[in-house]
Amino acid sequence: MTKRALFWTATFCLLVGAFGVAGCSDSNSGEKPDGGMNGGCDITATDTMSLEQAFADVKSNQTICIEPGTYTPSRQLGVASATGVTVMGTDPDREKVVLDFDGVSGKGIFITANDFTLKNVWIKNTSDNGVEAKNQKSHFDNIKVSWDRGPDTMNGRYGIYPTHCSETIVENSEVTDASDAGLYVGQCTKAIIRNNKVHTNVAGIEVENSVDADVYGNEVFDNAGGILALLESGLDLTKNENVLFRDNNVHDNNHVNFAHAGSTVSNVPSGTGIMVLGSNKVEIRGNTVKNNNTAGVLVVGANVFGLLDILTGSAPPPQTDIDPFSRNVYIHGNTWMDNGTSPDFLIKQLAAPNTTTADVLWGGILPYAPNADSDIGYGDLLTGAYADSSRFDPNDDQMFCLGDPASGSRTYMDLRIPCLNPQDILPTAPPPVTPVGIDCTTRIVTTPEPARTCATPPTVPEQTFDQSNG
Amino acid sequence: MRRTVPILALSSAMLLLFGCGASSPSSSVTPAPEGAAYATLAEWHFFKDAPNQVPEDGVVPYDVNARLFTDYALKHRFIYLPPGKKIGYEPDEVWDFPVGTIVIKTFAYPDNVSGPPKTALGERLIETRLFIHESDGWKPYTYQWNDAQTEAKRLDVGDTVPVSWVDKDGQTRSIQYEIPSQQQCFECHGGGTTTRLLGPRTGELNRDWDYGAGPENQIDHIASLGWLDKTPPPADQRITYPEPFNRSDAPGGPAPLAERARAYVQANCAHCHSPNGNVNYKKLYLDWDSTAVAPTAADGLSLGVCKHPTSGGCGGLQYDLVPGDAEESILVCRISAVSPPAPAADMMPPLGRTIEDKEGVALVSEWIDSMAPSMCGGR
Ligand code: HEC
Ligand code: HEC
Repeated sequence: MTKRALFWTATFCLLVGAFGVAGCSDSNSGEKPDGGMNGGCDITATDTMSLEQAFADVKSNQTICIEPGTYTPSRQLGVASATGVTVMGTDPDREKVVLDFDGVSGKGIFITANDFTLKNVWIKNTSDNGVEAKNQKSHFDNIKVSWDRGPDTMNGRYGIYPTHCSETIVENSEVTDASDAGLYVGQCTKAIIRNNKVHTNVAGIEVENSVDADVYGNEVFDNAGGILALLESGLDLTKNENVLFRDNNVHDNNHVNFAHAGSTVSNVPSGTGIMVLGSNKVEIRGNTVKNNNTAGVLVVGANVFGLLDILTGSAPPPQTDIDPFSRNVYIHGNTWMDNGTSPDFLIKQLAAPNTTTADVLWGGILPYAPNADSDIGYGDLLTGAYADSSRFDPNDDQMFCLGDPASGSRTYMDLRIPCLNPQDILPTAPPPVTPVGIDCTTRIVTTPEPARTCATPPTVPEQTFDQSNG
Repeated sequence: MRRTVPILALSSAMLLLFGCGASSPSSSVTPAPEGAAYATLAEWHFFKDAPNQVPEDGVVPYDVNARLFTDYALKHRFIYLPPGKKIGYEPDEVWDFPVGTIVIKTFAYPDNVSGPPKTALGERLIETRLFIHESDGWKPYTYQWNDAQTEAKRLDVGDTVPVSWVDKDGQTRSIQYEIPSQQQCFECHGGGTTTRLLGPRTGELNRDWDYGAGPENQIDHIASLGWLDKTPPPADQRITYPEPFNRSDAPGGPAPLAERARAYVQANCAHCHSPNGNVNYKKLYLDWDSTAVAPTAADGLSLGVCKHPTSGGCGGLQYDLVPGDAEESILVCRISAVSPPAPAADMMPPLGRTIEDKEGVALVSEWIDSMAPSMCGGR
């Protein structure tokens, strides 16, 4: 496995070119956007009192500047009616502008007004979410969210939490120790999450019940689960669709799961690099996926938690509002190294008698059939991710694709997900470099993938799920 | 700042001389110009005697059937309607108040811990909150009372106030009362252009109040002032929320348990948990209008019956509401949670409460226990 992985590292770029795989990389990593709509500061906070007063006084399109220092607000801060507000530390070193919410109930910053920007601050020790924006448009740049006590169930649930948004960028930020997801985008359309460092949370990055998410250039490590595409029952937006995970470094996500018991993420097996659950149209490419003990990628149906429930003696919750299957998932061009070597307890139980799993576990948890050639396991479970056009290319020359076994159809589909143009959200962002095969601006696939024939699928041993095994 | 004082004084004097002063008793109230709420409560002239909460003529007191729990604070509520304006009566929803309306709500505790009370009312006033209907929506403000109870000053950033009182069981209670920041008002009352009143609706207002001549129906009284745009139906034909803790003397006997519990969650939870509430995306609907009063699992998820929580569990439990089993219900776990030791994020409501509402938890638990048991999918 290691040899192959090394091969991949060395030849990745070349292969990308040769096989026409879309490379939606853009040039703006490390980009320094300007200082907000106004450039200057309308209100400057120099101590806790003036900071709290600034949030009370701020008017539409104003900028609150926060001078370096440690601020200890005595209650949640927020912007509810002024639109277009920017809040920024005046020192580009975010660790110099500290907002410590220790002992304060509620969130750190809660935004419901539209078009909000937050930059250059370090938010600490919130009892609920670090910063939450329930609005259409928000931009988070160079912020840090953490808890001094380290990873702990008592920590706030989410670090950065844009929700119900239609345009969001979260970039150059760091989140650590969140008891749910460090960096979450939920019930959003159009979200770019790039160049962040997300570690030691229960879930690192989570895209939940959203449409059009582009997640790239992030380093995600030491979480229980690294990057998640997740569909939940019981929310407004009832699908999770068009999700692109590209060029991320997803490694060592083996932290013990310290989520609140009973919460959805408490079911994420520790050791999961990337997890796709109940999502439709997900492309995972160009990532380095390394040392994730349960699996590099886990593709499952949304009722897999129900499956775990069966094993642990309780029934799955009713899910009538969603299509629980993961469909149209395309995994290719990634670098794999040492995943699945020591799976989480439950997965191990499911995998028995095998003691290790593989880089990719597909369609559920078990049974999977190890693919001798690629060293990659896959398999259909009760979740039925198989019965669609999902596919996994262990390497792009020896394509492996799945059709609908019932109908016998093996149609080849172009499953690439167009990247998002950051300029749509942030006009000042540099344009994306014209990628191979896909136009980010129009989100149209310009060059179809070369025609190929589907290889005969390896035979997956018929297995029925036997509850008594559990 | 100083320079504006004579101008304001002049304009109120002119109002008295030339305006509706002589004919309408409400003229003593002096609304501030839009967007410029006064620095002190006294400048509004809502009260003849503010420390004792005696309103000016034309400022009408009211109470609600199902009250919001705020750490056992006592509350005084009033409505000021600008002269000549009318309220749109709504049989079901919050009433439609005209621009210029001000709703006033004072939070207080019994002043019974050390020495004789400072006022005849016998209460220590903590804050007086306002909702002002300006041309672009409702604006929230609060005024914090000083310890001497002589003055209340506008406070936009919130504060924490140590408060002690002797409760009805003779226990001395001490809390850190939280005056919300202006931003926090929006968390319950909605933000931006959707800011709204929560209490003044027919179901809440249809009850008696003593305006000085014995108990009188509040809505009938308001109608008699000529404040309503239409004649409401007779009192017994209006929607009425029961008083959650009144087990005996409602007309026609005590209201059924389920209705009292539903009124409690309507008042304490529905501003966030309802189809139009701020947390509607969790699809946990606790408003009076959601589904049947006594739900079963078959009624679906709206009251949280057999609903798996998304982010926020509590105590490792599986479902928001398990009919017949309060102890297994996240709903009860979250309204009884107090931090510490519980994670602060478990507490419901997430603000406006630092201690447990014992009676509320008991009521909701009794209600859930009384439901026909359901296994919630074979649990
Ligand atoms: C925890 C939720 C919550 C918060 C926070 C909150 N309110 Fe309210 N408020 C309510 C509820 C519920 C009612 C109606 C029930 C009642 O009157 O007891 C209400 C009633 C009122 C009323 C009477 C008119 C009406 O809408 O019923 C005023 C005035 C008021 N609030 C002002 C404020 C102000 C100002 C703030 C911020 C300083 C604030 N409130 C914060 C929940 C809240
Ligand atoms: C100020 C707004 C607000 C009020 C008032 C409020 N809640 Fe919540 N509630 C929330 C938010 C935000 C969440 C989602 C985050 C979380 O789970 O903590 C939530 C989540 C919940 C959940 C988990 C729901 C799920 O299915 O995921 C329950 C149960 C709950 N609340 C019960 C209540 C009850 C009962 C009341 C009234 C006593 C109440 N809440 C009042 C804001 C509120």
